[in-house]
Amino acid sequence: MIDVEKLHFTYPGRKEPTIKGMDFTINEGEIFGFLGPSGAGKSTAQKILIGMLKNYQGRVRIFDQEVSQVKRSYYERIGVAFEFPNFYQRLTAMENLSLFRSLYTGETVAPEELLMEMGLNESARMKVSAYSKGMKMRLNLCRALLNKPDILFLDEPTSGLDPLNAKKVKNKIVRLKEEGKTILITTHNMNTADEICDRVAFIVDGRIQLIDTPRNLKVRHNEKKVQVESREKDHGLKINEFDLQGIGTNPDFLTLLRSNKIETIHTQEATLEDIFINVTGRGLN
Amino acid sequence: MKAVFHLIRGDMRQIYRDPMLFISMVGPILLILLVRFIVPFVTAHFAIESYNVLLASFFILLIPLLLGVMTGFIMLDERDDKMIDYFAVTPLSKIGYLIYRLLFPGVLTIFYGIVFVEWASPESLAALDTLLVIVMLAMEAPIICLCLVALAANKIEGLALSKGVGLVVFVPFIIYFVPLPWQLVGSILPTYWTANLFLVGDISFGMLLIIGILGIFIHILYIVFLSKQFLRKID
Amino acid sequence: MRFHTAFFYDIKIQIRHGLYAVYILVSLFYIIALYQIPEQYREMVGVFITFSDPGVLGFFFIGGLVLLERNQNILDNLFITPYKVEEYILSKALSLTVLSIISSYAIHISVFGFSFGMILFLIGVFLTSMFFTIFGLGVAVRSHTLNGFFLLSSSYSLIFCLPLLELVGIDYSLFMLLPTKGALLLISTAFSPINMLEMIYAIGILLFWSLVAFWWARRSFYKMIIFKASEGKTL
Ligand SMILES: Nc1ncnc2c1ncn2[C@@H]1O[C@H](COP(=O)(O)OP(=O)(O)O)[C@@H](O)[C@H]1O
Ligand SMILES: [Mg+2]
Repeated sequence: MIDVEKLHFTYPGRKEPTIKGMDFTINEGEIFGFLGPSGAGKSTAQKILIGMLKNYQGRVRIFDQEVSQVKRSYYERIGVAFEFPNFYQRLTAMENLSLFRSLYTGETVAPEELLMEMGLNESARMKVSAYSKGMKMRLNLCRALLNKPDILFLDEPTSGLDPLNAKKVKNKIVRLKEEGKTILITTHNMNTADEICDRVAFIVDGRIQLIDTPRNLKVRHNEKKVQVESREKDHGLKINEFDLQGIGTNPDFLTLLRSNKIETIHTQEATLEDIFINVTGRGLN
Repeated sequence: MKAVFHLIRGDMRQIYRDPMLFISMVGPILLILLVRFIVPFVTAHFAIESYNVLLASFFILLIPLLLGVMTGFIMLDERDDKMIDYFAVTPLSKIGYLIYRLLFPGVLTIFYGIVFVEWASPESLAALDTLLVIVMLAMEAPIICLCLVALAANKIEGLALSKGVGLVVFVPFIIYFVPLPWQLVGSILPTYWTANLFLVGDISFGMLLIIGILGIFIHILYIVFLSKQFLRKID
Repeated sequence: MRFHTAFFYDIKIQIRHGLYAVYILVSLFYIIALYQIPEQYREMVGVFITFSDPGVLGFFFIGGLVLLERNQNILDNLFITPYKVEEYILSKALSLTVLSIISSYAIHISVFGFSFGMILFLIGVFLTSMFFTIFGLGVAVRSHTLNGFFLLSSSYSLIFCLPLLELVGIDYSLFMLLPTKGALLLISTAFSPINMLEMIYAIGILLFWSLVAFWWARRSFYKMIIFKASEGKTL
């Protein structure tokens, strides 16, 4: 569906390229996540894919056409939600969606349905100038879905949302995937990526460090550990860590197990965030 | 103080790229030249020299209108770009910002107003009249600017308003053509009082003082009310 | 479907920003003002007013409309849909022309009543407004502030105003090459009929200039908005 090879991009007036060689493929019907700290080049890469930034080097093929050459009809088939939600402030949410809906010639979705799903039906007749950031973010997603796009590009779709609304958005994205849509999301939130992405690309400093499924990443990068909290006589709580591998024959662990001092036992799973730090040597924030 | 300095430096840089200075220099000067040289020529051509004073009282109002609208546009741009929020969190503060912005058209109006009255106007005014006219004019530029930014939510509304607000410069024609009890309807507009000083002709000193005090009072009322409105709007 | 909805929303946005409200006021003002003018000058002033206000109001407002859409990054959102630049330009121009026509029509019938030249008069307003609005759009995408827009647009349009001198008796045949000449000719048909040749000339020259303006505005839009966005420059 999306095929990118040796992608490089430099903003005019900048010495350093922002995208320094990216290769990846996104398959039909998958949710692909760009994961990385802010400034990594996620939004830039996405703007190239939607045909906005044209002066790139390398190959970017979407729907079997080079994206720098696409006609306006390309936009009938993709949906985009930019990082910052912008609307006509003097129009209501409903009016904004109707306006943008009318710009498509193909089949479209009724705005009411989308607003309902995003929990905005009650504020549909409110002017966008009275919307909060979180409401605008959800409206932004609605706008991207108006034309029943085959491919969706969502830039930080859950940023600025409270957990409940973030959940709503994530569920919607998963449902869209089940309908067969291909979805690219960028995020610097590991949990979001972990929960919904089929595959993630770790992006740091304009490069992809690694691409894999969240599950594989965890299995591969995890030396699982068992953490045991025990109460020592005068020292309060003490924490010991043991490798899960071969724990049944680990004498220290077995001694501790028999000592009756144990308060809690956990297996420690590395989060995607730990793995990101491990792989890239960089934090996410 | 340092904040003001930065603002001025920013303005200077802006002027370099932005046409603000150009408009505020060239606009009023063209206007003054027009009244000094072209208007007498045209009225002579149509044999309507008796309207010279009326025209002068009209053209002088264009000075604060031009400078006020221009400053209003700057502030509308700054607000649309969220720049005012930025000034608000510097030591300058919102009120400081407002005063700084309003001072510019006010001071320029004083300067051009004096040149207009003393040099371009076909009718010369007595010293006290001149003083009163200048004081009121100097407040009109900020009033017009405030009208735009206090009542409009963004630049398009500002543009629309500037069209409506601009009509106040036609008040002299009301004074000239509408007889007395009726023309008082116009007296709620600041420009009524400025134009009056041109058009009332010979009146007693006491009467002049009443016009002056009432006029200045109304101007101040507008400034205070609109400033409050503006500050509330950017909260 | 696409075009007519976009057009409809453009008008809606203009109403929401008070453009129609202000033009009710402005038109009323002109109606009253025209009644005050001595009859022998009324028609001439009527032509002048129709041309210079309702006729070119699109020129005045397009700057604000485009600048606001650009600053709020709405243009980015518009052009990731199949919406075409050509449609954008036409929708903006046609929608503002609606207001031009309503306002000139209202002023005209209130002051002068119905007349035979009405159709040509309205065609004149239509073409004038289309030309100036499209031209203004080309200027607007080259500007970054309202004042910048007005300075640039007034310097560009000075040349187009030359034929107005004809109203005070100054005329050169070179003015024939400018769209304003055609506009004045068509607008004045409300009072003095013109012959076939003049009509063809007037409509022809306005159409020609409108096409030139369209070509230029389209090019400017691609150069200043689409191309800059495609390079990743901030608009
Ligand atoms: N329009 C632009 N012009 C120049 N540099 C830009 C522009 N937009 C972004 N950049 C730079 O490119 C880099 C990547 O930005 P971006 O793609 O927005 O990162 P992310 O979305 O991962 O946070 C940053 O260093 C940013 O400063
Ligand atoms: Mg980003």
